[in-house]
Amino acid sequence: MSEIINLKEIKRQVYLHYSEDGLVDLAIGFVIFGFGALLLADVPALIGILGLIPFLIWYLGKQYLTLPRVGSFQPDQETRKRLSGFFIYLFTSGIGVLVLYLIAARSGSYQLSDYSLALFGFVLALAISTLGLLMKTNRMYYYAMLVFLAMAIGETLNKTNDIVDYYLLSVIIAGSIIIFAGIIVLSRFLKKYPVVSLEE
Amino acid sequence: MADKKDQDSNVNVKINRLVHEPARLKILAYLSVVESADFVFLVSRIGLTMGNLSAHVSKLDKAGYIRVKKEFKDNRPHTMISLTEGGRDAYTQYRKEMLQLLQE
Repeated sequence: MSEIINLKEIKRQVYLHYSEDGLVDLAIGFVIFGFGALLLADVPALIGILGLIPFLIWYLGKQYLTLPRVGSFQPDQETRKRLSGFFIYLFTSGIGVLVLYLIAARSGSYQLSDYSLALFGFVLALAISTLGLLMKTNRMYYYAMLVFLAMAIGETLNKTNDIVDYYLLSVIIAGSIIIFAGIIVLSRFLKKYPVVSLEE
Repeated sequence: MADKKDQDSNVNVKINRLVHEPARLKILAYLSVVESADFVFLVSRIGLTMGNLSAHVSKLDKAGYIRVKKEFKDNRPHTMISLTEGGRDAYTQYRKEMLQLLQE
């Protein structure tokens, strides 16, 4: 009875329901993996396409896998306000970090160029962590840590040799691990929630 | 609004029987944390068959506690359900009374 009365718990369950499908994990994994793979294959011009991957995975996954199993709902006004606030915050902080980075790199007053890839990893990790905070999903923090460590260690290792690109290799490995985790989460979700038939 | 038969005054607090029924209570509880939801959402959350759910939804609709909106999505019928002000009040009142009862 108390679980039906506890609205906070019901709300948590409703929103958790939608992060259980692993689509966000797969989207992050494919973007990280694609970033490393495209640079390793020396086709940086195609990196712009990576921006489409999360939307494609999200739209197709929700349409064909999630919604037939758990249905759809419109969040309440309070949650909608929180969500739009989060996206505005994410967008402005992203622009802010980029502007600061460009100013610092141009002025040459900071030695940022020495650690630019690790810094990029840090910004990515921050974005993934914020997503984890919003979705209340702890595994996002592990992904964030993995991405940052992969980029920082890869960049450090690259300074000691010129033969292998450790940076891109570690980025590809990190992306593969996140994709693998996403597949596990998705298969658990598909097993737990069968397609709901609207027929009697 | 709720039938008078649905009110029970045997205990100190009045229990709204229409809300008190577990399946209907769950429907109201889930609808209270969202703006609106479809049938699949309620079936997957509450674990009822479509027939059972339809019967409970119909009772709540008759009592004026929920609003049922039928629409078309990708050329398929799609039903969205939302809580009315009366439904929200009835659920809030029920919660208050039950919490009070449990504390006693």
